[in-house]
Amino acid sequence: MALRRAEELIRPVFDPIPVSLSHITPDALLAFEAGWRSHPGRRYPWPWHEMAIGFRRNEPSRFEVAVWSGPALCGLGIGKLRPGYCGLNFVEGSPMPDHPLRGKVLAAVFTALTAYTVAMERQAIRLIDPVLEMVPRYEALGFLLATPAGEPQYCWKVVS
Amino acid sequence: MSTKALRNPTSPRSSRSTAEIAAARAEKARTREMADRLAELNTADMPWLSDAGLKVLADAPEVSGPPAYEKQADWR
Repeated sequence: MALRRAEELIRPVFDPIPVSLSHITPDALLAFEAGWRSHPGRRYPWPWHEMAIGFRRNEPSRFEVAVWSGPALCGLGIGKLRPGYCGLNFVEGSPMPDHPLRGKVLAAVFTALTAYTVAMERQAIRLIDPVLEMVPRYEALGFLLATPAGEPQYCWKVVS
Repeated sequence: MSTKALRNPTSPRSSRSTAEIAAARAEKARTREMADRLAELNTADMPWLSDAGLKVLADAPEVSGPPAYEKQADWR
């Protein structure tokens, strides 16, 4: 339900580029395997198969999303639901330089994360361990940086 | 089981049915409340969907998280 609402919100904004959201389905993992896994343009070599399995085993309530434009997998995101907030632990856009949603994947994932967080009656979203060079951009979008001792820093924003 | 037993409101079968009905109603109410919350969401709540917000992210690295997946074990 949350992903459908997120689609309703982003489609008019991304128009005319088609966009759809799903969970991290077998099709998404197949697309990752076929096009992403060994791509030299990836920043980090995250193993999405293992991550999906690990999160599903340990996090009965979790956030997960795959961002599509037609048949093209453009983004993946996964995170944890906690009291008071939902965290986005990993998000990655397609390494394909010309994928249809280039520059829009984070906006799609943040929208889906917000919808899921509201649906689950949490009050804030957190971007766990963000890439540091991105923090000023997140702050420009209303996020605040938190640097708790002994834990990964995160950017957070109230959503309700 | 006899027809009489099926109609007995104190039988286990009848109690279970009542509980199931109550659970289904509660689930329906939760779903409706969730739909209401989601319906209240709009793009004004999400600066990244504005023209300015899209520009902020347009040329940004589309990645967030730690370099290695293994490090996530103890994260909250």
